[in-house]
Amino acid sequence: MSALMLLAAQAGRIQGGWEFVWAAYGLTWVSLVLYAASLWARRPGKEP
Amino acid sequence: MARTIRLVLSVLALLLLVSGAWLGLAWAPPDREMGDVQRIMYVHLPSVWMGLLGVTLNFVCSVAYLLNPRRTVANLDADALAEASAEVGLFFGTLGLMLGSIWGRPTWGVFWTWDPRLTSMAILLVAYAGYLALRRFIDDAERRAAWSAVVGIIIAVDIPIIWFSVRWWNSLHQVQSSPKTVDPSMVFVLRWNAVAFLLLWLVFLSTRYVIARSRRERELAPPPLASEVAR
Repeated sequence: MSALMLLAAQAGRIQGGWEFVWAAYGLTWVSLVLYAASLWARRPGKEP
Repeated sequence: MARTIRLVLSVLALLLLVSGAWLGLAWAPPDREMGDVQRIMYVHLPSVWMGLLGVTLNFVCSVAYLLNPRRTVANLDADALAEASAEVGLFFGTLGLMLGSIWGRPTWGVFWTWDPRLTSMAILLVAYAGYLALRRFIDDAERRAAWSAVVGIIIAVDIPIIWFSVRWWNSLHQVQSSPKTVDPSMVFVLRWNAVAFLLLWLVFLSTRYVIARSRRERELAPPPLASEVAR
């Protein structure tokens, strides 16, 4: 009975998914670095 | 002085971001239903919040400019801050929407759906991209400030729609959680990352504001005399 309940409870749960987590954190860091670099490139005195 | 403050804030933001990533990826417990995928919340929510903070500041600056449309230093500062907040808001808002899309795939089964929350957010971002494009098309500084202030106020109508869309309509997106319904360790990590993103938002905003003000000063500087040009 308890094994059946455990199976039922696990059925709706998301298993794994770390690739999405890494993609999200990777995108965050890359975006933050690129935007910071774009601000650095546009700082006063560096534009034509 | 301002540069020193920005440098200190940058270092602090970086330290909080790195530690916040560790807290979100390793320290926080997995969610009961979503498992480890829920860890995306620690970057998705702060990004969206900073996006909405940016566009709200843009609305405030737009109103401030139009209430006193004379060309004064304070008014041009309001316009420069409006430009900076729109770009920074657009950046964080776009990042937040993309992160939500990544989170949506394992939880909803799709990267994108025309849900009221997602659609209203996408409309806001497209509108702000248009707002920034409009600023580039108008050469006269005063006309640009006035027109973009009007557009900024019109776009801001979408901000409460985004916030309340999950309550007003049948939305796939969940309603706002309360700290009372979330595990305290998750709330702690979320607040930690929110502070890190807020510090970074301040650094980005102040840097972008300096760029905008410098451009405005160059535009409004009197043209050089003919004798100076000849020399």
